[in-house]
Amino acid sequence: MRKSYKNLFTGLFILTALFAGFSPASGKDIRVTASVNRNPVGVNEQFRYQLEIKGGFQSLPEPSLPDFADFRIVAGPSVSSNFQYINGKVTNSKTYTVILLPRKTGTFRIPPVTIKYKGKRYQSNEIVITVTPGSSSPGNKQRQSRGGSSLDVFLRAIPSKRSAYVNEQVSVSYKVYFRVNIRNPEFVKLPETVGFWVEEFELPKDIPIKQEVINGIRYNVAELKKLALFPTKPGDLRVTPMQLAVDVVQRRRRDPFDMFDDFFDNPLGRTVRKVFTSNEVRLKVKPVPEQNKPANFTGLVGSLTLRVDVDKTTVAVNEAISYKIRLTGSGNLKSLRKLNIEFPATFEVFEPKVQENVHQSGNKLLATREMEYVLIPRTSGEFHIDPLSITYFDPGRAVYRTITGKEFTITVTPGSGATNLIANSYLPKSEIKLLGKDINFIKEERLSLRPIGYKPYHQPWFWGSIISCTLLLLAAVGYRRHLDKMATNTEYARKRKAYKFASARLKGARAYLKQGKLAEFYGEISRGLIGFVADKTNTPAAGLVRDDVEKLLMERKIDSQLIADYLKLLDEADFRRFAPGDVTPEQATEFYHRAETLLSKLGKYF
Amino acid sequence: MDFKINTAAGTRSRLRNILLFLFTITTLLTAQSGSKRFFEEGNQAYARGDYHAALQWYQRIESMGYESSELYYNIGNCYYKLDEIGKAILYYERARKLAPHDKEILENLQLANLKVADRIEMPPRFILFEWWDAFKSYLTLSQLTRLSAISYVLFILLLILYIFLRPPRWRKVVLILMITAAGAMLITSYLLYVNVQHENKNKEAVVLAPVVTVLSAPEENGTDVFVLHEGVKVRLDEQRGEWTKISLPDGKNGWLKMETLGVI
Repeated sequence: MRKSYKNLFTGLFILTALFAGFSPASGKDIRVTASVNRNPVGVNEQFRYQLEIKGGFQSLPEPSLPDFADFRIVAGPSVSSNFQYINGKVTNSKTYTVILLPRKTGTFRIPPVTIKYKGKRYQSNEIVITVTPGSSSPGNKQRQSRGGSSLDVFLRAIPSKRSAYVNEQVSVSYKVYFRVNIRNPEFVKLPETVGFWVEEFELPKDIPIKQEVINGIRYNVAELKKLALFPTKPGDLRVTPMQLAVDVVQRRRRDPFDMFDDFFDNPLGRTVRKVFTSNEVRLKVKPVPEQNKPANFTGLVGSLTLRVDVDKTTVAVNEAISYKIRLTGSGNLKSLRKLNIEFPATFEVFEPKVQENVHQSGNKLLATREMEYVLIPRTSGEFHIDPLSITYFDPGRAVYRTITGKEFTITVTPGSGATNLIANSYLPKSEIKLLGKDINFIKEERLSLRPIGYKPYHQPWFWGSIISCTLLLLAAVGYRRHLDKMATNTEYARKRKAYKFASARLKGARAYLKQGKLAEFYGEISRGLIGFVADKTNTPAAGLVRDDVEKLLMERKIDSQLIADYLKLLDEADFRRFAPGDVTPEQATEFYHRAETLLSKLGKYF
Repeated sequence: MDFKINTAAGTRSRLRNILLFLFTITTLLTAQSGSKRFFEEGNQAYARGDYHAALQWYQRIESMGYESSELYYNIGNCYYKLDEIGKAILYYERARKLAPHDKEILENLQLANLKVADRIEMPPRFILFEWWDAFKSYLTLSQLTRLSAISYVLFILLLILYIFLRPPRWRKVVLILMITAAGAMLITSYLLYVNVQHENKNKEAVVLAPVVTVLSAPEENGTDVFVLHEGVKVRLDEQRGEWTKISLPDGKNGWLKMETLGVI
């Protein structure tokens, strides 16, 4: 047990020693900063070295200044101190100033200064100064370079990253560095952000001025603009430089002891309005990897948190439920397409109320989107709302992630019978008294089934009766006309009746034959034959002689053989009626049949 | 013909015909009695309160290819009790089509319509149009066909009588009767024609889905025009693929997917 305590103690001791020993400026208590006012400096030029010790203590320790071996001390060291007590906070600072002159050209190192105070060590930065052959360029040149002409004012665009994925947030900070007084800043040209979706950080109205040492020279820094950029496509994207115009108070160059310049306005300095241009920002944009890319990837890149809530899980039918979604992230939430949420089918869903706001967290803009859906269940039962999942890409780990909200089970009670009717109904009086009334009971008798799609007007009985009646009518009309014709039109009547009469006569002849009255038999046959032609041709039968009949028949263009047969019969009949002679009954019967056949043949021609 | 019956092959084919005939008769008879039994079983299930079972019995009759206003009415009742208002209204409307003046059907339909979420404003119509509509639909289609056929037959018979009758007094009587019959025939056949046209052209349907959004065009991303709830009766105007154009009595119209509707 003692052994473990000993180890713990040793560990703690080492940690504190590490912290104490190696903190160059321990931030909280004392800050030591070394700076020069020109870098590079000409071999014949004087420059100023300053060491500032700043702390929250009443008394500050004395530093031991470096050994300026490569330089000649022209003046100093001199000390100036500044003591501030604001709202209970103590800020004590001492500045040691030495004017130096280079001995020769080259690059030299002024080592850092270490001070000890209350057992703690504080170290300043070291300075690497370049001594050029000629004199260094005057401080107000607009050209900016990395090696550092010691400019009085310059503008920098600082991106948070050099490479990013498509739709990943990258912030660019536009800062102005100045070591002379500047006034009335004005944007001459804003950076062009082609290929980016841009959101802007909201900076405080009173821009704080910080201090930084660049190339050993101390500058005041103010952040004028900060943009959050979301690249919309892969490749090498550029943001054009920003241009800023300011009034610059020019320093007087002749004053060797120009240490006072930074402390108050020199009324003898001129104010010139100059335009400064920042660097452009180059960003290498990669597309999100295709490998393992989920099908429902929303396109969001960055961090994401999701919260889903409902305000109640048990409601009655037609009561509203509020379903809230809260999305927060560093991705471009504005590019998020509509979320596809499947609510239960019998829930009526209204368009969501969407609220968006943005706040800053560190170097990123975090956007929050709140969507509130109002759901009204229209039927009772148990329903599930599936959990909502959103897939995004984490650029830090370079993986796809899915974040899922809660799932909910909603119990919908039927409510009372009356509330099953519509909540917002304004029913007319006649209908109000029907509320709550039950439906009539089922029908139990006379099923009277018919096939589905039965069309009564397609049924056979319908068309059958109609068609048969129509035909009946046509037949009746025809018959009527026939009767009328028969009554009025002699020719027609005679013609139609001709065969009938002739047959009657033949029948009469037959009767005579049976009685053995041959003369009468032949007479009737003769009359029958002639009468037939007379009727058919509407000629008076009385006085019609054989030759007339022949003429009539020939007029009708009847087959000559038939006419010959007819005349032969007629002649025989006429002959025998007056002189029957010894005709046998068989002969007579045969004659009879011949007459019958002839008549039917003849009938075809009329 | 005598030869055919007496051969062996002839005897076999004749036997087959007899059997076929007997078979058809028995199936027809059993089908009829079967449906009656299903109906009774369904009624008993309904009386017990077992609406699901009752529906199953009734729907067996429907799947056999038969319909009647009583059957549809009972099915409508089942759906009403099961709180499926859309289907209830659909079947009540089908029942009403077959029996337009049945009091029970009309009352139940009225009660079911109270449960429909949307109140459709019926525009006021000219009173004569209302009368004409009532007159047009007073008789059912089968009644009209029967009447028009009968009046036609009467007309023809009287006409024939008129043609053959001689005494003028009788002729006058027959003429008057004939003209009446002709009038009846013309009116009934005109009504029949109008109703047939109406039935073939005016297709109506009932919304079956709980909530539907009617769109301005027959495609998924058409603009939303308005929302309808289960049980609303709509008129079908046009059809394009799986979409149909519907219109309401108050003039609103738009496109819906066929699957959300039940055709009356």
